[in-house]
Amino acid sequence: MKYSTWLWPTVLLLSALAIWVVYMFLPGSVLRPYIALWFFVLCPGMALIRLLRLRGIVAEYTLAVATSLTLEALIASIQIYTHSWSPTLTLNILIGICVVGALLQLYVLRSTSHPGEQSVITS
Amino acid sequence: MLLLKPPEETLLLPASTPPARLWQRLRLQDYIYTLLPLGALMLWLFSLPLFNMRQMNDLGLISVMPPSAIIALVLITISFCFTLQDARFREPLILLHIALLIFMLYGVTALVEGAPRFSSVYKHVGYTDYFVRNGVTDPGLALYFSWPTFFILGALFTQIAGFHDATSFVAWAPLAFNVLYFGPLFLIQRSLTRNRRVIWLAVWIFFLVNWIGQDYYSPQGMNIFLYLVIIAILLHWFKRAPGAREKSGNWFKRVFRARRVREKPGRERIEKHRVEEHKNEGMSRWEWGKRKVRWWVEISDTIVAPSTFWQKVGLLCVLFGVFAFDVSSHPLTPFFVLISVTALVFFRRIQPFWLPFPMVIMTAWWVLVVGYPFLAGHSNMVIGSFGLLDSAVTLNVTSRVTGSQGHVLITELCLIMTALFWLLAFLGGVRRLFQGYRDLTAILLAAAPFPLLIAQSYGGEMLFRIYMIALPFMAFFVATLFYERASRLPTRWLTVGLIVLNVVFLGLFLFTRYGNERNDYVSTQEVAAVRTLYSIAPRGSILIRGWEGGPWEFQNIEKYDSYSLDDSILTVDIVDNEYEALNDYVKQRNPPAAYMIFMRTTQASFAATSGLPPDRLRQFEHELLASGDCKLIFKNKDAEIIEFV
Repeated sequence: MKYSTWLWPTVLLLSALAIWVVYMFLPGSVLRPYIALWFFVLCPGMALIRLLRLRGIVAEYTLAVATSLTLEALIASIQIYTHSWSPTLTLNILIGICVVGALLQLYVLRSTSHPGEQSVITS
Repeated sequence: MLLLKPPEETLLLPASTPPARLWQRLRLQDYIYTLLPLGALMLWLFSLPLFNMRQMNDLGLISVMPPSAIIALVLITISFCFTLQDARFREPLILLHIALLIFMLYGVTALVEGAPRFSSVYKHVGYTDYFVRNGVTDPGLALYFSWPTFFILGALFTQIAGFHDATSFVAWAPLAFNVLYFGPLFLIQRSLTRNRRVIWLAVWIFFLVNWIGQDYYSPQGMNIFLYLVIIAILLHWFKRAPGAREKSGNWFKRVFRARRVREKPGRERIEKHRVEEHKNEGMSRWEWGKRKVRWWVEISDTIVAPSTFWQKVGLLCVLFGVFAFDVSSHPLTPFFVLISVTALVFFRRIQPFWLPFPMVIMTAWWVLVVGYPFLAGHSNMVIGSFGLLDSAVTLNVTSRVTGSQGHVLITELCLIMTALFWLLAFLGGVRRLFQGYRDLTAILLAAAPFPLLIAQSYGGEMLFRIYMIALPFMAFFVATLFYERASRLPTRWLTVGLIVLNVVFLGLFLFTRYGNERNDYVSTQEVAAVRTLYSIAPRGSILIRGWEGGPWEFQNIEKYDSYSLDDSILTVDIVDNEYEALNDYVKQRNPPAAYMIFMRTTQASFAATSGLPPDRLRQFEHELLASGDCKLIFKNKDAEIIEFV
């Protein structure tokens, strides 16, 4: 398996584990805001966006951040409007998305090459 | 990227990279262009303790900025210009310069000021605090409770990160938002040109002229990012491919229009040749002109990123998700998205053609259904200024040029910077036009936000928002002024021109962006005083601040009636010293308690914007205390709390 295939799924799984541990068991940890920021800004989106196998690192990161923030905002808003606000539940949903996305990446991207490695069509 | 045009404007890079290690390929210039910005950063960091915020005058932050900090900024600007002009183009070095510029320009206030700056930030912290404590929305409280998604996101982050409230992190919002803007901005510029120097210069200029200051902890700060992401997705993956002919497919694929396309790369050149032929065939000048314009408008952009059907489906899901966030978090930005997307679709720059329809439905549903409680009570505010261009110009421009001498100077500099920037963009656009480039996409996106000035004055802020939305495309045209063709190597005069323009922009930025810093700066003493007020005021109390500005309404907003002395509802004529009117108002309301707070910020704001003598507010406070109806209950270096008895 290629390095680029397993690196991000591993990072995503470790990030999901880290945020779950600090949120549930180490609420007073000084690392909590930094881990939360990392997870919050990038992880759920990266878990999904990498499945699209887009070409270009800037494109991938930009869409991952936008998707993460959008997912978090929309899930939390649905809870507010349905009077079921629960940051813990939102976090669990986001961790679920992250884990499922990471596992899907391992499965889907395992045997396929990245489109970025295909030849560029030119005239 | 599909390269359909001969790469005449592709940057000239060495044909083949020598198979040497990185350190062997580095030249003396590379070391210089790495050490210069890092040296500038060090100089800037050492300057930070020399900022004396209490000495600030009406010119804002620049009045207390140590010369070494200014030199550091000029140094990094000059270093960027030389790096950009270097024959061997080093993108990592350019990126280093831009990253440091963002940090130095947008992180400075978080580092030198003890508390988050800007009054509106505290109001937004109060909205976030409401969601943290209550977990529901209340559209009756304020406009943003009908567009609450951004604050809900803030509340979620506050709780997951374990902060007491949002004041712990909001000071870093300008830096964070500008870092976020980089990604979509780069994608947008890359979809407009292949000239790497234009791309990076446009990105640099964007950050150098973003003086509007809408990137504080606010829905609009986030929505600018969302707008850029939507436009980046459309320009990068959904442009109409040149000469695209669609293969047959099922209805689902027809709807998504994401099939593979057969490329006819030579079409645009053939079309242009035909236009020229007609000229020779004796066609009238008018007919020939019309045909040329039509050709110019109809030819598709040549830079299109390849993507598969499922990639496009996924990207559309992301696009509509982001737009849903946009629609539910800000009342204005969705209209900027709508008008830009509609313009692109109408002029056949992007596909699918149906994109604006679901966007209109989503926006209308949110405004008319979810936003109805606000709309019902403020219909005149929403549609009352429709078509009143005079009033919009007065509110957005003329009425701002009032107040103290320093404040007027800053406002005039803002107008000068905007006019200069737009003029240069116009010249860049005209130059490109005469050079035969077809920049219709960039022109449309630069012009699309302007019609909204007629629709709404947005409390005198519409021009700011238009400036911000058009900024990436205006920056593109300004950047093109310097690089006609990438194949033409930079000249010495061009380098001088580039340095002069960037240093001028930098100077104007320091005045315009932080020119009102005296009003926007909030001290830790003021925050402590207002926290004390919240701790002693019983529920239902009336809280009045001396003037607009300062940390206000950032805690328990639903529990208090909060006012400013400049609110028309209080009808206090401060010139005639009508403190009795204030007393009468309080007695009439009969609250459990009533307090008034005078802060350093309210005093500064009064001096800059009221048009009255600066010590008038201080006199009012003394006379209020002397009346015997009030007593001083708290005092620190920057604030005094008075209780009505």
